Amino acid sequence: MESLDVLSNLFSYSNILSIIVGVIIGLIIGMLPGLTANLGVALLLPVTYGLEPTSALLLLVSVYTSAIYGGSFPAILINAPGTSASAATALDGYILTKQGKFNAAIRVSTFASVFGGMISGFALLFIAPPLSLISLKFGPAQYFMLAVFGLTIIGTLSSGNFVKGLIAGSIGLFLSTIGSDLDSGYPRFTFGFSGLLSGINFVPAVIGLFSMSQALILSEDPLKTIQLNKFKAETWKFLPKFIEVQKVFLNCCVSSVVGVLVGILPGAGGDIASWVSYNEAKRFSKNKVEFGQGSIKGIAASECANNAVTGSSLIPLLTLGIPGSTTAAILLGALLIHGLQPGRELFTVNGNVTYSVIWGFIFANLFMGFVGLTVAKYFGKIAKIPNYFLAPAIITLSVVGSYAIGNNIQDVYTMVIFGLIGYLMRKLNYPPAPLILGLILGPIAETGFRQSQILAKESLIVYILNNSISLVLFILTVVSILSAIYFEITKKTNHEKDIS
Amino acid sequence: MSRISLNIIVGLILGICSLLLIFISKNYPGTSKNFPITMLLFIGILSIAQIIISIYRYKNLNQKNFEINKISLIIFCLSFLTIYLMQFLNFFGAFLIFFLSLIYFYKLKNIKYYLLGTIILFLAIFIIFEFGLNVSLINREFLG
Repeated sequence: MESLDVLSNLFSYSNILSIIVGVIIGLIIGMLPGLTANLGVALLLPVTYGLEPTSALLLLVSVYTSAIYGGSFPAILINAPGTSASAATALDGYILTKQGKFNAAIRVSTFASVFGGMISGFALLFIAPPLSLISLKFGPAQYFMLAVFGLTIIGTLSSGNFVKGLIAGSIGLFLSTIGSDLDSGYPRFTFGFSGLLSGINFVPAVIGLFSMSQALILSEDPLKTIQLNKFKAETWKFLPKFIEVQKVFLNCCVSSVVGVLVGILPGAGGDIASWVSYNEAKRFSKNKVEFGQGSIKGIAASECANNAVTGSSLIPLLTLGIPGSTTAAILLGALLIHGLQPGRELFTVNGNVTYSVIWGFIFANLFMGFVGLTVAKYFGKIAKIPNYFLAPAIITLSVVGSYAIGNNIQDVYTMVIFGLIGYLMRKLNYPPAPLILGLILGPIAETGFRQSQILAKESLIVYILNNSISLVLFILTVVSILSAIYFEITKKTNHEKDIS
Repeated sequence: MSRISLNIIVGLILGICSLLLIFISKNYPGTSKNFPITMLLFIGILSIAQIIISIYRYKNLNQKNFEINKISLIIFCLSFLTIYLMQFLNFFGAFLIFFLSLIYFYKLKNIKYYLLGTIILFLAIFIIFEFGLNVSLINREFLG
């Protein structure tokens, strides 16, 4: 009966339309070099205000997964990965294009992306519900440590510089304290501006940091045009050949597992998964030389893994509220906007919505492959959209999107200010994702911190660490910081070796 | 300006700002000051760490100079001005001026497709937001 409820909920007109629109928009965004899944999800976030929670989340997850897949098109056809997650795909994909075998490359990348995406959807379906039981054991101390761990790990893994990542996360946590104090009602850091009393709305902040700042980056080179190789549309074959599928099937199975595991790790995104998977495929291959020379196994490994991350990065998000990737951090905001709190409740009280979204995600991956192969022929036209039109179009959509949140001009100003902050952060190599995560996790962290202070009879630290979950989270936090330091040192050593 | 100097300057600015904000938040009542002070202390400590890393780590490395593109700043200022104008004209009026002024700043020669794209974008926004989501973009009274 419950399954029927989920199915009837999923296959309503509005939900199907959300998936179709989400997949198409995501593909276009992914196909355009310079535009990312983060930008797409951030831009569409305000549009979801007027939608039912299921439709809203389906729209966003469809954009997420198809943008990652769409990134493979420019990687294969013009050697310019649409998203960082497709960088490994370009190694073999572009070689195949130069050999005139772009159609085979696109077919394999589509099969691998759909395969990886669907496996990650099923992983989400089977792993998330039992894992969410852990959230029942969470109290103030655990929530505080969870927020700290989530911030630390995304701060350390999503950036190249973990100190800058931590600074960005801390600034986000601090910004979340602006406005009336939840307990006393005392205005904090408002400096007399009444508009700040309700705090900083994170939706315009997200749009500013990811969309507006990207538009400013695109503006730096407004006349940039993409050089396309000519490819004949009449030679186009729609479905992957059996021999191609047979050749990459094992690769796809292994890469899906790699992608799912990397995706579950908070902070490790599609780019890490695709490189790890590509290297593993190369390592276990009998013919290592073919990698980098136009191997379809290389394309399959990279594309399968980066799409396998999309679903599994939602596992820590839906169960514990820790985003598995930057896009998942924005999706956390979407959940909260629609009154959905990550944890066990998401799979019980709101089970109808959650399971519909998971099944919809699996369906979106299948649909994405169909649309991808259909629109691939028109890639040339889409990729030719110049920066001088893209940049003002993104700014316009950012303004109208942030205004649509509450018909409030103050949100638009917030978006523009965060756009400038985001632009400067990118220029200074500060990752914007931890700042947004801090802004979202701030209230959870502060509430946990203050409740722990009240409940702690002796020392606050002793109280917070006086249970197994907090202790494990504390150890994981320390391990993540130490591993980041280790990677920084090894990176430095390698850099110095390169220079010498 | 070199990236090393800039990292140091940004670290100093963050450190000074966090110190000032700690002094401001000391007057807040009860437990409302504890969390922000903890975060500000953390930002201060990390800023010092960033300065030290910048001095010792990058002193022997060739770092690209930091540049903010002039056109990006112009676009940002134009966006700000357009949002201000929205309150006097309306959304479409203000953004029409924005798009037309970009023809000059981007030094565009072939504007046929640019204008066509602008019209399509405006139409899409009108249909999705004005009709679909009931966001008032034409009536400027709501934009104030």
